[in-house]
Amino acid sequence: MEIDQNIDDEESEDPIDRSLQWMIFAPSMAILISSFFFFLTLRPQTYYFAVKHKITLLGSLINFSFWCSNLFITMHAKSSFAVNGRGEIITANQYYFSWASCSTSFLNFLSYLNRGKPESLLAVLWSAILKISLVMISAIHHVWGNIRDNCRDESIYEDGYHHLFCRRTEFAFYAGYTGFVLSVLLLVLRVCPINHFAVIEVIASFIMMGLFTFGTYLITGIDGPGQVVGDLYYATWGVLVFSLVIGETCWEQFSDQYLNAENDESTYQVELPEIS
Amino acid sequence: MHNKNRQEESTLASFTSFESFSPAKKKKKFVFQTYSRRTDEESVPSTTQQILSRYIPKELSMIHYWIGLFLSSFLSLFFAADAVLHCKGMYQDDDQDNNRRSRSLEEGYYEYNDDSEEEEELDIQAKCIQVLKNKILFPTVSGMLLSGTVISFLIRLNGSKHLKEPLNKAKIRMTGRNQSAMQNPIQNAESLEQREQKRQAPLLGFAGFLSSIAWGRGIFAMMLNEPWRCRGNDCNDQDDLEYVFRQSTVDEIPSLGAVNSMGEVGSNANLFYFSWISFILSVSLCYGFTCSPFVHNHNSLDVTSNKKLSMHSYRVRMGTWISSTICCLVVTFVSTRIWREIVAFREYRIGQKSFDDDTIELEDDFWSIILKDDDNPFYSKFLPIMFNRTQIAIMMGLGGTTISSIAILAHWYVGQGDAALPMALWVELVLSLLQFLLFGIAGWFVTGSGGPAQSVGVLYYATMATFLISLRIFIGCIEEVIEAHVPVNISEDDEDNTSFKKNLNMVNGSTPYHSMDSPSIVSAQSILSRNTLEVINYRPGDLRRWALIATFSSLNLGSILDSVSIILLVCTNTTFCSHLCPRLLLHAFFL
Repeated sequence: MEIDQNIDDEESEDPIDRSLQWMIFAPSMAILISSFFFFLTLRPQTYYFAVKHKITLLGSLINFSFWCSNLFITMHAKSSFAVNGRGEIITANQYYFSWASCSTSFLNFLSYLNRGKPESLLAVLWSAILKISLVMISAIHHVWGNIRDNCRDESIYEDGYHHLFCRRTEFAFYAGYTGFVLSVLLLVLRVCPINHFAVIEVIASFIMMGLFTFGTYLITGIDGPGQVVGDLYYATWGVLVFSLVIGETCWEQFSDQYLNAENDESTYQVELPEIS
Repeated sequence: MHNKNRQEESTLASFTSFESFSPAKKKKKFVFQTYSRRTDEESVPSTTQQILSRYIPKELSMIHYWIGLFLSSFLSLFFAADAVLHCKGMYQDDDQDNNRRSRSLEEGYYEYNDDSEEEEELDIQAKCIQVLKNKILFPTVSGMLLSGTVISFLIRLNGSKHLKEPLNKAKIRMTGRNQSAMQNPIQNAESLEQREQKRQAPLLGFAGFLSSIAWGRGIFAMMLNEPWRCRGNDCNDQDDLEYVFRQSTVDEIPSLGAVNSMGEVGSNANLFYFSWISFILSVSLCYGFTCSPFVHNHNSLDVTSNKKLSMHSYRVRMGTWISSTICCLVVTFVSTRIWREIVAFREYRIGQKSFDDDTIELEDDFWSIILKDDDNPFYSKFLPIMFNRTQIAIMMGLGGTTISSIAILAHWYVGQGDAALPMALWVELVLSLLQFLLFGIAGWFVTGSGGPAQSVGVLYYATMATFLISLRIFIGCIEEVIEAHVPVNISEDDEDNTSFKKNLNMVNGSTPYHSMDSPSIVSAQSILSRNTLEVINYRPGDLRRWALIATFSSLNLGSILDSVSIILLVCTNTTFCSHLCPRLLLHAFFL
């Protein structure tokens, strides 16, 4: 009670703390930068000059950095208006527009970085899972930080519901890290020349599908850490959807490469003697 | 594999096509490197387009929508049943969470009498089962039965053709071979497949209608649930007090955790989203099989006229106006529901009843710091804000409903004759602009801090959806007006005029380079340098992204400043500007 009272006194003296100052400062800077480049892009001459000298790439990187830091503070600071201690949304406008700004800034930066380079569908999908897994891990850390002491208390075993909540949060931890590790592994292996890579990819995608089909129920169901709308809820469903898309795409690739190829090969072997 | 082959083919194609006007060898190589990527983009769409075209078929008659309805109904029932099993836990969450967060309170505060606790558990469990039976069982089972019947009927009638069709169409779209067919919806409507679908339409439309009725009833019962309030002479002050501060969790029981009494998403978010998905799919299927062909037939009278009007746009916009009306009605109902709660709370405050601080256990966030302060005039300042903004929400909903209804009438009048066409279009344009402004300005107060739609819920989504719909209609109307004023002699079939318009748009930066035909490329090559062409290719996309970032950042900043203004108003008893200007700007920006 004394600690709470101290916080009250401190906050009542200074309602705008450092985090809040940054939450105002960072979007202001993002507005200035994006408006500057918007007007720069309006005229072809200035736009070409900025693209040629990589000014737009630098500007998009700075803009994305501002939004990354701001998003982290918005989602985890105590004085944030967007979410509370359990990651639940309080002010929806701030939550959604923060994510929208950060996502658009990221896409903008990627478009300047990867300009002229071809994209692979599966690489993009695995990268998406990697990013969403990071969001998921961050959200679970946030929840776990608030309930850790209670979950380590032995008296929690007497209460079935809260014991279940703790167990499901631990499961969410493992699921998030599994998604992260698998996606990193697949992205690294994609660069290396490996035989039967499609087999590895289809196995990994099926593991992800199974894990998150079951995990989405545990995490976002009643008594799960992501039962209310927030980062963890959206991230878990996002990983599930991308896992299903990856599973289907990998299976198509696998069947094209192995199952259909065997049929083609068999017909070709029959025809070979006639040609020779 | 397929993508790689397509890329190689398209790269080869680009090399051969640009070879003719690049005489020098070095230049030829440069041109190849510069422009081949654009040709790749033409044949291979972006990742998002690939995923969307694969999983979301454009025609509502596709069996996939019925499968979606079946799955969403099933998942709604599943998560509702899950909530019934955990009903006791949902109720106790409030106590346990408070216990977690305020361990410093006196021991024994949360101890209950064992007998009363058991009775309470049984009571809650019975209430949850009753809710499942009365509100959720009917729409979910109806949706599953109707969609299951339609799926089996379609499979029996047409074999498995429907299941494979969207995937094949998506693949064809990805290779770009079916572009000419997709560009002309009127010719598509006359295809054999469309005629088959028209024959099946009444039956399927009736199934969609029944499903939408069932889900409409279910949504109405769930989302506008009656609060679990202590009524009558048996209630005392303590009951009222508990109601005020625990209503957010206790009142989730009438909807099994989908929403609380304020219409915000409750502790069972899955049930909330899947119920709404089922309802939207049912209404879309009902519209797609009943209203849509009827409106399409009305407007097809104007196809033979020389006016440059897109009948497809009209048909889609009728559905958009109906969606807008439904959203406005939802805004009105939910805000009226919240109004009653706020009025109850306000009356309680006017009654000068005192609050016991130990009973106030709220979230561990910034708001709780304010609420725990005894001397803070929070309620006297915060409640009027909520009060006024809820009034604004009700007016906004009523105004939006009126505007949408008039627009539907005006839109309907479009199909009655050519003479009424320009007037109806202008009326629609003005109405959509009015609604856009109404939901832009009033919606800002409603969804801002202290507003009834501050948090995620029915009112927030309905307000935002109406705002976006009215923006889309406004843009569509402007496009129609511009097309209506294009001279008749410039038609799409006229090759000279088409290429002229393309070159004109290309110079303005609104048409990508890869959509031009070969003579246009040659002529453009003669007047524009290759650097300029590169600029033209990328500039529109970059322009859109920077504009979006600026817009989203501005909205985010506005939301923060709105919250800060309320905090400062409550905490320091000063207005926002007098506090912000000398302190915040200097401190945050320069120090």
